[in-house]
Amino acid sequence: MSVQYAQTHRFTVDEFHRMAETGILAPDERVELINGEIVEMTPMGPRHASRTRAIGRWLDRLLADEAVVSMQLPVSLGFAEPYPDVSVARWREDLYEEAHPTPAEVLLLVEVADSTVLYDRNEKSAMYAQAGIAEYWVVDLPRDSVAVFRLPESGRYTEVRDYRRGESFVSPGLGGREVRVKDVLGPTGHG
Amino acid sequence: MQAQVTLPHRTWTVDEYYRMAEAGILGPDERTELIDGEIVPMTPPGPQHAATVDWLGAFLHGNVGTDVIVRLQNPLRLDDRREPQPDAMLLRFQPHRYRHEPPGPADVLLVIEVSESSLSADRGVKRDRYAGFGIAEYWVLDIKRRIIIAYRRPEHGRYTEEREYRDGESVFMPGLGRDVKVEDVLGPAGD
Repeated sequence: MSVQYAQTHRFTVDEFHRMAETGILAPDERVELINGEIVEMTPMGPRHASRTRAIGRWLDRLLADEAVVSMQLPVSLGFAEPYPDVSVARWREDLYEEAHPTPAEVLLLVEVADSTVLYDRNEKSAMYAQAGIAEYWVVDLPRDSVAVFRLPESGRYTEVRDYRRGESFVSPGLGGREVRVKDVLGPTGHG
Repeated sequence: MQAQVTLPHRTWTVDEYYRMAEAGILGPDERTELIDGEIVPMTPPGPQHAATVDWLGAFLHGNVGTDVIVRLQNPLRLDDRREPQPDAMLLRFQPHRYRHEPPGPADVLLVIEVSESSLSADRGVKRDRYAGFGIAEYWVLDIKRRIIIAYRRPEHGRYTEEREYRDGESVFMPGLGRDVKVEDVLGPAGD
């Protein structure tokens, strides 16, 4: 009995928070606010989870106290409040105790994509570009590649490049470090 | 063109929907319906639509007996995930006048939707829902073509009878228990 409507009611970040405060959204619900819509986060398979964990640990060690690395914690885009798999934000001693990182503070967002590649490449990239997130990676597990989105301009990234295992690229978000794609993708699962 | 991809929305129960209204998350001036758990904004009625509802309301109020309640553009609770607001309804009289809870399918004698831009939904999703919940009779007033489309005898989730009535014809109106002229329902053919 499910039907697609051209438009459903759009919620603001403030309304989204009030739903949690008033208990309309239960504390253990896995939902995020995307473009005004409250969407259920897809259940995460172990491959997605372990890659997220690995990238988070790798970046945390790499950057130490240069930046705040988070896994699946909210960033505040104003019109949305997603939980990217990994986020890197400017260093703050209080680890963002007062407010979630905003686009001006975010250096890099990473989504690990297993079943949601198209969604992460299209819908999420449009949302992050609109918010002015400077650098965004989609770790494409099925294709064993990393898509790097940069230079957001009027709601889209003007530079999109796909890097394969064996290649490397320079990441302005990581202070101009050279990133080896295999460090992002991890060891191959099959040999 | 990028593919449009969507994640499943968090859908809502009637209880959650009302708590949003109480918490001010849905404002009193926001006209929405709950359809299949989705909060759907209602398109603002055009002047022709509004005038037809005015006419129809006056006609119904002037002609129903004491055993019937006329309800205009207010909720009908189909179940705990579906609460549309039909343009007009004729309801069985109850001493409580549905003060504590909106009427449900068994309370309804006739549902009428005035249709201008919403014709495809009114003759599609909405018709199927009303049939599915056993609403005995459902009329769509197609104001552009000046016809009444009457759906009757719901069986196994669909109406088994569909008839169109034009100016000059009469149609039996449940709740009034007699024939009425098409122009009494639609209002006089205008300029």
